Amino acid sequence: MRNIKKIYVFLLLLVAAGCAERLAECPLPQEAAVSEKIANVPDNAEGGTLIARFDESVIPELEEMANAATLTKSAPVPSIPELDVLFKELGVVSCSRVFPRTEKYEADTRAAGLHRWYVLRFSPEKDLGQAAVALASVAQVTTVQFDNKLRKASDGLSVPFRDGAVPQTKAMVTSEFNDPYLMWQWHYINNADQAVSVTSRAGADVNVAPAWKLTKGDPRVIVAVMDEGVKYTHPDLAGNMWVNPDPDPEMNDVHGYNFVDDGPITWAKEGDSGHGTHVAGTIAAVNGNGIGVCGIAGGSGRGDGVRIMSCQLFSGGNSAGDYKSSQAIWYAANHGASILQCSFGSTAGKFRYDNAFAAANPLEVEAIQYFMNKKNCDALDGGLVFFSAGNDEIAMSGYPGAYRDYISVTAFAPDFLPAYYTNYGPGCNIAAPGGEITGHSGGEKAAVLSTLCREISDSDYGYMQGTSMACPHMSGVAALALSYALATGKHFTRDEFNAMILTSVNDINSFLEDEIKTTGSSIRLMDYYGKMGTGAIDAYKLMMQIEGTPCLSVPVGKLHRAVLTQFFGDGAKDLTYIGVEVPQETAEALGIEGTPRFYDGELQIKCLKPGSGKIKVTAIAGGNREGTDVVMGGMSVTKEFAVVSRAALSSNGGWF
Amino acid sequence: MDMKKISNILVLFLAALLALSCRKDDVKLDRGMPGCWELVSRSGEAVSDFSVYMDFRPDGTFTLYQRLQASVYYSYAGTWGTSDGVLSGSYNDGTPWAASYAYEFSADGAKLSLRTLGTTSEETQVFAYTSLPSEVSDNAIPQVKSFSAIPLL
Repeated sequence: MRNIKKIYVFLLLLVAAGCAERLAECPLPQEAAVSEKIANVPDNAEGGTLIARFDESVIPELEEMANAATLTKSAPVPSIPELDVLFKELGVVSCSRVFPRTEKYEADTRAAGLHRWYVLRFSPEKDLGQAAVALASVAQVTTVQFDNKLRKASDGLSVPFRDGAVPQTKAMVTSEFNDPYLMWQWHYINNADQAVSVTSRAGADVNVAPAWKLTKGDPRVIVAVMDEGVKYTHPDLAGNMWVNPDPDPEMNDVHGYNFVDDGPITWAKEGDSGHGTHVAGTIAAVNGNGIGVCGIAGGSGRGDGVRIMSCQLFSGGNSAGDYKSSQAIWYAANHGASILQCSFGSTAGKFRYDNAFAAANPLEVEAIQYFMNKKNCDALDGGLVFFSAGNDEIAMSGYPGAYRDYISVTAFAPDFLPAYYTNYGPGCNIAAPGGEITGHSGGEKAAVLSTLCREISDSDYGYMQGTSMACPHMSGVAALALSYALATGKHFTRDEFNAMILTSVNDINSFLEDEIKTTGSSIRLMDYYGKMGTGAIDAYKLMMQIEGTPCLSVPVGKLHRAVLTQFFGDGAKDLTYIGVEVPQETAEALGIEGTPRFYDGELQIKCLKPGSGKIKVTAIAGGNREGTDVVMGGMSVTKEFAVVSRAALSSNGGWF
Repeated sequence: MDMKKISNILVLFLAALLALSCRKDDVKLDRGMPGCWELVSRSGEAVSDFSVYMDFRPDGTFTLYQRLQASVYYSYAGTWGTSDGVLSGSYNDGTPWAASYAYEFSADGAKLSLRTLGTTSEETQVFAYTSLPSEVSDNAIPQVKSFSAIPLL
């Protein structure tokens, strides 16, 4: 990627040199310096738009310039001569901050350095590449980024729900909710219903039924759906839509905002698919209201579901670029969201390591960092970020999901096998139901059932497939878990919460035999072994982790071998462990000599004294190496737990 | 009814009232093993990462509640007994306790110390008399049921 960019910039410089007469006042610096400043190459970039980060030293002058231009409603006139020449040459009509100044959020925005980002608008006739080189040539400009448009992680295909035959295991879908279509939501409660697929496997779901006994949601938890507009009037969503307590009169942002068109949220334009509405329904369709479907954190029908904020990034076939999508992320952080639900990303393979992605998308990375650092929920220090892994059927996650700080979600089908389209391998962190719309005996019933837009699909409900559908399962489970943490007065750091998520899983590797699965296409199952992330997310297991850290009970005087399932989930045996930390205090309390180690997925520990103490174990969640600047890899998760050594240990696990 | 009878009744009533009001303390002193005990320390170290309640019933049965290797309480049922200052027992699934214990009560009867016998390492645990929290008893998941299954013929 970096090489492509260098070649691209070199060619641009050659062209720019030929145009030296036109840009005579803008002497070109060394190629390397300019190349370093231009972050990306144009890829479906917004015309007449460039994003630039300026040196802090010129920010006061730029802010003065922007204020004057706003007041006089005229083109900006920079006081910096070099910039002034360039603005005139490009015909810049506006130069404003990407993240607008607002009294309420200015301090945080400045602290994060986001006030240094500006967006320049000029004639779309101008060559974007040459404009970028010219802008990067200005000494006070530190970064230039093309405003590339987003790509949805879905083909947008949906099949409307048609009421008809009841599933054969209807009676087995036990829930207190009266939503009639819950029986078809195998992705929540999978009882191996043959009407969904003859290959359905019980337990291939997010195991939300027992979790619902503990909590059903909490309106203090807000999930920002970065997607097509959410149909906020949908009868099964309206009750759980976020309502802005202080809407901006100019934006009229009651339930969120349409960042593509700079206006009201839309969902039924030509080219829309209902994708955002489907995603929203999985997270928080209203439960217990006697209609339609259930949402994972949709409450009980008494106004107690988590809230959906619609940050519209796709509209009628058009999509937001880096500028507007970053602004949307900043908006979500400022307006109380604690979960960022993102079913979009680049094609897998476009970036192959974290540095390449971060270097090409500095604005987006900084905006997400701002979101991650924002504390909007009393149960959590920061924000959680989920991306779909992508549907390219490629052995690596697409970015941004592959980035080491974000959770990338792969997809499985009702047979508990990888969905044919899912990406897998490095960068993938966890799996969730994404369904398969073709290739099963139940047809579209093997896909994910959620809310849709009647204007598009002629039905309020329907089926979709994709990692786009898997990702909101993860967001919904996380939202439910935050609700439970609030209810129980628990509080976690972002790292602790991510670690709990990635270790609350059921094993899926054991189903991956040396066979070919043929549904939408043919895949060799062994290729996916250990590459779908840590396992399939289990809502109930996550609730249990929130309740408290369980202990490892070991006998005194014997070498004890333990698979750390209760700490790292069902996939514990297959994880790559990279560290065991035993504090001196613990070593003394338990009589541990030397450092315990791992062999064949088992912790080997020997305690010479009865007692208890804490140890820390670090593993890689997703793949066998940690993601770094130059390596695409998994997320490092550290679990701290108590080791309780016993002089006498009953064989049935009883204390006495 | 003459005054003497009335005063006798009053004395009896007051005595009964006094006896009832003192019952709590008296029972503590004379209670012995039956009742619910919560594990509070091991080898002098306070217990904080896990939780154990033991409910000894006078009929020789017990229910053990523990939150140790899981985030929820599991319950175990069985029988117990004492002999010559030694506490022993077994679970209803036939598993004997991993150790027998020498036991000792504190002077006020509010604490119970159990010292393992016959193990390579000695371990002393201290339990405090308590009432079993309903959220523990109501939500515990049975590991060993409270009665043995009787096969149907």
